[in-house]
Amino acid sequence: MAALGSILSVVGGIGSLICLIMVLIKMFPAEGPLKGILAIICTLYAFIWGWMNASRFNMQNVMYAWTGCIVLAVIGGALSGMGAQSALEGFNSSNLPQLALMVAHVADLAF
Amino acid sequence: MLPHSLSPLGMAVPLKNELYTPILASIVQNRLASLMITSAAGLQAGLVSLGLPGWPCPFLHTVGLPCPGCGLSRAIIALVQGDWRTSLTLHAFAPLFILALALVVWATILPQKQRIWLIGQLEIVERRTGITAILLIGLVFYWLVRLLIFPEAFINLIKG
Repeated sequence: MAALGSILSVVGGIGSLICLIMVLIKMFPAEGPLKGILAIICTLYAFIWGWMNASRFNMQNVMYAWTGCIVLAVIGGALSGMGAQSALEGFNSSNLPQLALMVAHVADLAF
Repeated sequence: MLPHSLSPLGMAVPLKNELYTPILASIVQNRLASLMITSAAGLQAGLVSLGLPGWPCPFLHTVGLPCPGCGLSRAIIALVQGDWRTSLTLHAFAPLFILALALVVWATILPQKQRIWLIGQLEIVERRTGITAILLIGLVFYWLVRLLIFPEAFINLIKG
């Protein structure tokens, strides 16, 4: 599970980086270098800017790909986390009640 | 002799203009953009504070090196929870980002008249001081110092 998570995470990360660079290539001439730097610092801003200007710069496909890559990376990250939890505590992923208990415990800690 | 546009003085003028260009004011001018930034920041803060995977940094995931903004979410949450020490250790620019986010949130919810006033004031401050540009460049220097002088500690801190 952890290995699959890591693979998904890396694939999503590489895809995200490629899409980010493609958005930055459009963004730097259109918005200037300072907003470009802001987008490098806060890639979430680049993502929002990309979706807001997708039709203007004809990059809907890039944005769909980036969104897909983010979903992959998030799922990968979650699977890696579950794998690490399983390795640490001998967690059996087929045992769903234990998972529910763990979620309840995390929620309890958070609130 | 060089023409004025190629002389150091001629090149300094566009550079100065670029530095004093309003950035935050131009972002909050668009209410939809402000709303999306507010929602995304709220979602990210919620996910990170619950210990769930949030926005994945493409640089960290691919190259293994933190980007200039890595650690900001955790630093902001630590600061909101009153843990100054952890917040400043994770990212020294967290208080400034909280201020910028507060301005974006404020610009999102304000009525149109007050919103226009706020944008005008922001634009004046940014045009006079170039504060946003200075802070952005400072942030890049801060990241370079952490990456080049304390690389191991920095990467371990960000990777948790």
